[in-house]
Amino acid sequence: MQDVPGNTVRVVLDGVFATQPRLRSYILDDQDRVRRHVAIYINGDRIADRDRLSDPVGAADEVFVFQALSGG
Amino acid sequence: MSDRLLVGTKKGLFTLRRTGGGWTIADTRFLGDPISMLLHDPRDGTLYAAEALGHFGVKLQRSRDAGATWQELPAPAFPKTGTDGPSVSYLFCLETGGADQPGWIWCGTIPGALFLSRDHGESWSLNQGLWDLPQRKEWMGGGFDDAGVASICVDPRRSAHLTIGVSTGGVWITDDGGASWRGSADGMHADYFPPERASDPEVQDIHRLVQCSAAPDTLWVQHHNGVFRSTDGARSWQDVTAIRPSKFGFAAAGAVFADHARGGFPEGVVGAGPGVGDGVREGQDQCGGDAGDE
Repeated sequence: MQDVPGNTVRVVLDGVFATQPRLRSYILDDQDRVRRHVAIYINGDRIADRDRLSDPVGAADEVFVFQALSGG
Repeated sequence: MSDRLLVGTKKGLFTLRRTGGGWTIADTRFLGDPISMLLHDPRDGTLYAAEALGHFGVKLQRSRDAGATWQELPAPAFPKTGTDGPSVSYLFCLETGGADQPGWIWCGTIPGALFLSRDHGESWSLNQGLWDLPQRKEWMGGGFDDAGVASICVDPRRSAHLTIGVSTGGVWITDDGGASWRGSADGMHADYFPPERASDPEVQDIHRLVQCSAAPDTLWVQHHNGVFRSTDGARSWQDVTAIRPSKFGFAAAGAVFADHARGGFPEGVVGAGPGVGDGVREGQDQCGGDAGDE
């Protein structure tokens, strides 16, 4: 887990990518959208805006990044 | 005779070494990662491996010590144009630039685009001329959701002359290093298409395009419809029909070999492309043979 400042998912992730640049292309595609088989949650809620990552993030919130699982 | 064989699979990269009478797996890398393409650059010995990670996108790896260690490089990516813009979903083919272009690497992708690195894969730029072709809107997926640049041939006589094959989108040629492109699929036909469209350049599904290094005006295409050959620098194509066991396939040719001794069909060395089939045969490095006359 990493503590980063930011009031939207975009800003929070950019804060993480600033210290781990290679991670960006694993989570986001060429246009900085969330990759199709990656899911992002704020606390227990899945984000609504996968294109612009504009969902608000509070100071005490946690942002989770998952890889989707397929199959039964 | 080579004693090492690199095999890219959907489950990783395997290095096989010749031992006595057979081959054994000497090394395993990227276990579990689908490898979409491999390239050995004969100019400097560098190895490139393209990955297609299901969750995390396409990745590009490079080794400068014959596979002992690998470094992840930035993969080809489209310029940022907004949330409706394209994103590379597959690194379909990798080719070296000309002998006079050290460090140049071409990459064909899905969606159908061409990228160039001039610095051994450290950075990539989109070939805008091909991407902006109005005819590109007619291209379509052939086995994948979107069209892909499946093959790139750099003319050994002049490196600015490239011929590429698109699945599905025909054959395209540039004489100026990629600034401008022209279609060149005359003579090809896709008989599984509506008859009115069967000969359209944009509907030709090029599984694999190779150019003879010894006689570069001779090119071969494994097409979804069969095999076509050109002897005039891809200006026109002739159907090659008498091929056993089948004219259908996903030819794995890394170089063209026409077997004059057997009067045979051009056969390939081992490649790592999608859908690589079996039936690899040896042949002589000559291209003028009248294939299909077995």
